[in-house]
Amino acid sequence: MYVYDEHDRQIISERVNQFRRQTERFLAGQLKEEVYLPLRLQNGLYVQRLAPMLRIAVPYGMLNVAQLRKLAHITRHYDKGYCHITTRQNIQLNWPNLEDVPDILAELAEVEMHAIQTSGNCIRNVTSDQFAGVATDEIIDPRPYCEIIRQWSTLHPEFAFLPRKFKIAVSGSEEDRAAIRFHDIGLQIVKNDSGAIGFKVLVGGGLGRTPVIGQVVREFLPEQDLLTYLEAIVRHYNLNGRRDNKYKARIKILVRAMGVEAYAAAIEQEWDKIHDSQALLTDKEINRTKSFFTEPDYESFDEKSCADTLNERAQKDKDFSNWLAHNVGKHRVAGYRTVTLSLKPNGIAPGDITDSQLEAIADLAEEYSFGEVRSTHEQNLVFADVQTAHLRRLWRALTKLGFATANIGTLTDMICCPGGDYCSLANAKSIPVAEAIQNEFDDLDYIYDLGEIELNISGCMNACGHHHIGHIGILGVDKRGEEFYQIQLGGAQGNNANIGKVLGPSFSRESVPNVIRKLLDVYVESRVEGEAFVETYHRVGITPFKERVYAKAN
Amino acid sequence: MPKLIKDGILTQNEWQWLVTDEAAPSAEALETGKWIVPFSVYLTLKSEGLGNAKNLGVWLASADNVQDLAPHLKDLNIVGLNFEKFADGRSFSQARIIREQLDFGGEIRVNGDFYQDQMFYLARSGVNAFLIEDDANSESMIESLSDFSDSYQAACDEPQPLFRRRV
Repeated sequence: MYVYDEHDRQIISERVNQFRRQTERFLAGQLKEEVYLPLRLQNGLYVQRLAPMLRIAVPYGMLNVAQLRKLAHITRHYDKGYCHITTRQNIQLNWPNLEDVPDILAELAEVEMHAIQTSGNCIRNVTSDQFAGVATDEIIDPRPYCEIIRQWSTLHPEFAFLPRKFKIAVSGSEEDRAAIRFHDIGLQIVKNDSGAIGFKVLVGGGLGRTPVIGQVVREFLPEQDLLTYLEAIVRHYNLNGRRDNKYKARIKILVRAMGVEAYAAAIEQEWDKIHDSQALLTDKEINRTKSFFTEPDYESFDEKSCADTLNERAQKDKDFSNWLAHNVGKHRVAGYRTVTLSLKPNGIAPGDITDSQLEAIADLAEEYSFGEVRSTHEQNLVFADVQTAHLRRLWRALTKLGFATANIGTLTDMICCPGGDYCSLANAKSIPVAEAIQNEFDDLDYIYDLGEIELNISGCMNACGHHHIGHIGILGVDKRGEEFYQIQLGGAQGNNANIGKVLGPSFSRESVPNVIRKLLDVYVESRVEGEAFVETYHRVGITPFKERVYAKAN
Repeated sequence: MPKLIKDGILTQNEWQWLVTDEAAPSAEALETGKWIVPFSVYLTLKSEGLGNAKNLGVWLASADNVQDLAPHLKDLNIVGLNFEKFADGRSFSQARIIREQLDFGGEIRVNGDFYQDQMFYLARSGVNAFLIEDDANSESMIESLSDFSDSYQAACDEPQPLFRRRV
């Protein structure tokens, strides 16, 4: 994991001091609300429905135990004892006091954390694959490049007042687990024919009101050119992105208006002016950053005998076996596995976690996973380096803590935004919908029979809950002051990215679980052997689902 | 009368900023005063053979294309950038292009709806003069110019990014 040097520490601590002075001026009435607004946003501070909300950056999802313990302390002392993992791998506090925020930021700085640019019309926290460095399909570890981007984008003087927010994601594996096709810039690490490392660059993806799949503007960008090329893209956007209408201000609208070919040509032209500037990355810097992401001290094991022992144990215990099948994943290194902690047990808002749970997770990470944890954009946590021999003990401990619900990748592993319970943008609540679905579908055997299904819920069209890319997407809408829910089918993240189609007229909150039940019935009746929900949907089309769900009304 | 912070100190402002709908300065006005005028006015005055680097400068609106300024920079000592709305960040890129790509060594002055907490970033982007309200707290504003003692990126104040300076 990256470790700050004196430069990083100084920059982050000066930022805390700057924000402290700004907040003092605001509280003293010397700074107008409209001017303080972008300043607090660029330090992660929103003012929400009931209280301020502070979004803390978790750069590309990496957390160490000191950070987890500090977060536990902060949620306990400055908040109500719990926090929330967001769909961009960050952590949100729901109830801090505005005047405490400079102190919270100072405490975060002690453990090399910050809330810089987690909101506002600027370059946001860079996200990546939660299995970076350990995935079996990895081409190159994306984290060093993420860190290089984090430093470049942090307090960038030219790009703090962009037309709209700007999100970058990096994937280093064959399968995209970072939703790079739905980011303003998506970077796919590739190797060319001569073995050189570079990036396939996608621009103009995004969710929100106008969901768009990002398009390739460059097939191969040599790694040294990363920052100059990003600079060309963001400068062009800063000068040419629309500023007359905030709903048309994202880069996706600019790319679409220009057409991707003309757009790519304009970027090349912009890049031509700066591609040999001092921002050109040096091998020394790439290697320096890579030196922070070396292998931990793995022990050597025989994979086959590890796997055999594990299978033997699994056969004797159905619950353990279910957990292995759903929450435990392959690892690049023999005798190791990844473990996903499900933050989606029945009865808890998806992604919520308490102070004492954070501490317990820190202890377990120390014991079983080299003291590191990752957050995922599916709002779960990951231990990336667990020995197979430790899995059973870890499973027991996680079961006690409530993190061993064996539902990863299934219907109840929902992505869900905070919605109308917290967020002032929301049109409708989303947490109670998630809860109702979890209550309706609490039979694990049924869930397993359904196989892989992604169900995503957003409380408004800003789409923080990624409803456009759920196999089943649920969107909260406001109809004359009442909360209704529109359902979409066929969305997908990953390599076969797709945007879901609206099923038809929206439903009341109470009827949502029953509608989901009908959709699943159609799938179960129509599927052919081994076919996943989304595959059946693409084969049979939307009509049979529509007919079943709206049958009564006809 | 607005005040001027230039190169980090409070200075006498000698230039008049001609707003969009004001009449262009006459030949006499140019003899006796110094004017920063909108780009269109600048082009008109130059076509009439009026003004020189000592008494005539130009300011760009956020929507103006900086590249159009390129052929004129050799005749200019001062370029203004106007903030219509503080949230409109185009001036940052305009300043940086004028400094770094068009190699302008003269004064880049901002006016309008920018605020104190943008000054550090503006300075990094190549702005060296700030036109501020008469009643503004210039001391506090000047302090903001040194909010940070180091930065990650290369910019106009530091041609080398931090990664090239780290030992």
